[in-house]
Amino acid sequence: MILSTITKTGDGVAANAWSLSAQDVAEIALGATLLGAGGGGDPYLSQLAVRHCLQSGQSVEVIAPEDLADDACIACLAGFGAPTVEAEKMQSSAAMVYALRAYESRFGRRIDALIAAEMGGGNAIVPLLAAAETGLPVIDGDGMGRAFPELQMTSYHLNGVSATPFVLADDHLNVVTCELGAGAPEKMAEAFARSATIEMGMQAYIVCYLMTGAQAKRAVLAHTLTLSRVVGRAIAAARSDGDPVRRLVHLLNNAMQSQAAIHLFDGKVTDLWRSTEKGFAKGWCQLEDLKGSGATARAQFQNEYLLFSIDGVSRAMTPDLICLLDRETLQPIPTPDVRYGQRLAVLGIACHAQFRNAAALQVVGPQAFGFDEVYQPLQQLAPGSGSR
Amino acid sequence: MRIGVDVGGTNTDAVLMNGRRVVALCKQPTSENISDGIVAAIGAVLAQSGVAPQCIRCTMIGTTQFTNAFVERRGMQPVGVIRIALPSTTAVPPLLDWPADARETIGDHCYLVGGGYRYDGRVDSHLDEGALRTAARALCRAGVSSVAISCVFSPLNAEMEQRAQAIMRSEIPGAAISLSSQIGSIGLLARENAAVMNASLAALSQRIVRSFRDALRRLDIDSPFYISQNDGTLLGADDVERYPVLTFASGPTNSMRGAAYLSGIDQAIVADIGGTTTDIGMLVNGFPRESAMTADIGGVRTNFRMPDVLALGLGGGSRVRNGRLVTVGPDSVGYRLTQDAQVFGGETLTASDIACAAGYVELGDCRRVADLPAKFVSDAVAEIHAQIAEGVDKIRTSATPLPLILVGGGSVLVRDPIPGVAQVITPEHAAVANAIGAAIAQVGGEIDRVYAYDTEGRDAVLAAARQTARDRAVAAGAEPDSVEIVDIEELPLAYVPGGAVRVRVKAAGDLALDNAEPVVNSNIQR
Repeated sequence: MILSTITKTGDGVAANAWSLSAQDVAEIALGATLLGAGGGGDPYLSQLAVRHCLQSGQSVEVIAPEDLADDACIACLAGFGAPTVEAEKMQSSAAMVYALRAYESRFGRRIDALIAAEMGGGNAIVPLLAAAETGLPVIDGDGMGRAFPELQMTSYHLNGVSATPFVLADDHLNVVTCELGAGAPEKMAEAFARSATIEMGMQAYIVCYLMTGAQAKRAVLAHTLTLSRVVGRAIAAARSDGDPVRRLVHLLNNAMQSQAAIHLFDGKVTDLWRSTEKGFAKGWCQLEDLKGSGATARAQFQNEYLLFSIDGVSRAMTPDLICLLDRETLQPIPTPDVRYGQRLAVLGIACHAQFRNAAALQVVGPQAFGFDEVYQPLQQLAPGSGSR
Repeated sequence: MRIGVDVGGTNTDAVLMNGRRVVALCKQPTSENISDGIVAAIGAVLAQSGVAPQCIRCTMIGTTQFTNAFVERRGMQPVGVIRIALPSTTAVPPLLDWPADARETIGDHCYLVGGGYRYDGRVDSHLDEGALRTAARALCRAGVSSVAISCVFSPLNAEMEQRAQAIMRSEIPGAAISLSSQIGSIGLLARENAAVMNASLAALSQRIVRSFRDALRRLDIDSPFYISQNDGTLLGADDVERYPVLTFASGPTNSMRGAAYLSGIDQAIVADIGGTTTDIGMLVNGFPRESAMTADIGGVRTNFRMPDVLALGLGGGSRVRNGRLVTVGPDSVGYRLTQDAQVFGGETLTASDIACAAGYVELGDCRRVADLPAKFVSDAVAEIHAQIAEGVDKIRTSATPLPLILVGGGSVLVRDPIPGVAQVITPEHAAVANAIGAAIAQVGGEIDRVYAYDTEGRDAVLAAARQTARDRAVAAGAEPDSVEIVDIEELPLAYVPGGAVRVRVKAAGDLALDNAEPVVNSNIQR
């Protein structure tokens, strides 16, 4: 019914609409763990909550961005805070819905559909939970195609959609709204949201990046929810293969494009260093070649894995995805879970083409995270190593 | 002198040790009534050695009884689940990820009440005592007498859980209470799951610990006894009675610690070959390597730190079949080995029969398997070795050849070299490595909480945390001079300001046996 007002088809069912099953949600969550590139938090709890809703008779409709009416009103909904706090406070649909309603009443807009900020980690699932509660559809897409640590690191921002005004609400139903003055840098939205979230106990929901259907068609990374499900399905299918990592890379390249995923290294974690700076979990882990060649690799992280090198030579860097997985189970290993002695495969996955231009690289490239490196695409850094 | 006992699903083993020396050992079938098997095993080692019961300074018991009960859904009871969390956590109610059969036993007695802390341990919501009392009365009416209590961020501050415990006790006479803060670390759902598992075994644990006590009484052993817990350290019997889940992973830990002790090697691969299964793990610095994965036990997600163990369906009781290919396992005759195996006069061909036919060992009457075709026997032997080789290859972390230590009653099944292994070692007394692991167990102390490095300083925090862990180990009964810090983990909390770091420090030391009455009471608050 809502669909008919916002999709072009107008007959109540969008051409590319689908209704999520519990199985879809589990696959999306698994895929989003890989696409999180080490960050974004564990989607386990959120997907449990969504599956619970589906089993209780609620439903989640997904629509493709190209099927949106140009004047539809789309809002991005995300959890904002710290994964550790989420591990304790889990999720509150009531706070999510409250944030949406607060946005509508404060800014006089009626929200027609929801979209994810990031397709990595728990925030891939958060809009699905709110959708189940409200009946609003979710758009098959996001603003990162992976996880990134900051609010402005999105294709929305890069396409001129502003994060503000935004609304933050916590589970006590405290609400903070934020509007930036003309000319204020977008990074201030992140700073305001971060400091309000600290006062909220490091868990809140943010409604932001309000956009029209017309804007969304340009600004959204399309079909990434579907991609996440495909990736999750590929992981599950490859697990039972005799050579799971090789099988997964093959499946990923079939699903995306040739050479989108590259198997960069197989190693055992032999050293690990962590620190915390300005609230970001920084560090690196060192891996030694499992085949005994003596090669040493290093994955540097700041919430997500950002830079990967073998014997000092860069092989993959942000915004391309660097994913560490257990070689046997293919379970993606988030940065907080890396432990000495783990035997891991390192995959590089090409980021969305939107992130590879100069303007985008200023926001999400290596230098945006304080590295000296100049971005080079994964495929150039690792020539011919796809069948490693 | 001390006694180590391993009460497994198939066998009950006992060893008598004098300092570091094994004086006597015995393997008995586990009895339906557990205490009979213990009496038989300990009675035998005392008789063999001629040592009087009064000379036993303490007894250490390792057991998989509680794990097995939960996995097999045996002896479980309904549980009242109290989560102190409102207004948080509502999208993920308790028991959401439990398998239907376990959930059915637990029943539908879940209550969310107001309360909980923030990430820094400050109050987030005040405890709703009225709601707690209402829930307690409802549980009372439903006849539920075991209650699991969890609370948001209770590992940082357990006050609300303890207050809720007091209220439950006042409203439900004789209630058994399980507090999540006593069991698990950060991660509410997994910690709550563990508390509910624990509560579901409340009556069973009383019965089993009572049967341990009863066995020792019948043997005239009146010195203290301890039960080994997940990390290989000891817990007092009273604590196990209240927190049986703390023993869930002790089986593989004991066998691997025992293997290290018996072989004198502390970097190796260990295969513990039992009656039904083989557990393969890695020994690093004399301790089992821990798994990085969340541990699923009986289909329920927990955040226990378990040894990284690969279980194979191969053991002394594994059925051997001669079909198109010779197969061994995964099914086993289990505890009926001494009746069903052919060398013992039974009808079933088992891996133990093959070991006898191959001349690896003499059990029962080996003549009964003398006419098995030689080709069949050698194929079955090859299959057993191939299964072990595959397991070893899966668990190893590098291509560097490591020694393989074989322990457990089924260690006689393997004698030939295993590819990729430096040498295969079957130490003396390998069959009772588990009981030896229990006998040499240490006493531990642990701290796990979030500190602010920016205000307190990293060095000061770590020094304080190490001291607390040491103090707790000593308070739990460790010899002060022997206490060492065995593990330090620092995990900076992403996005949290102030340099918040979760610090986990574990200390362990030898049990102080010189005291007249060593008091092991672990870190559990009464």
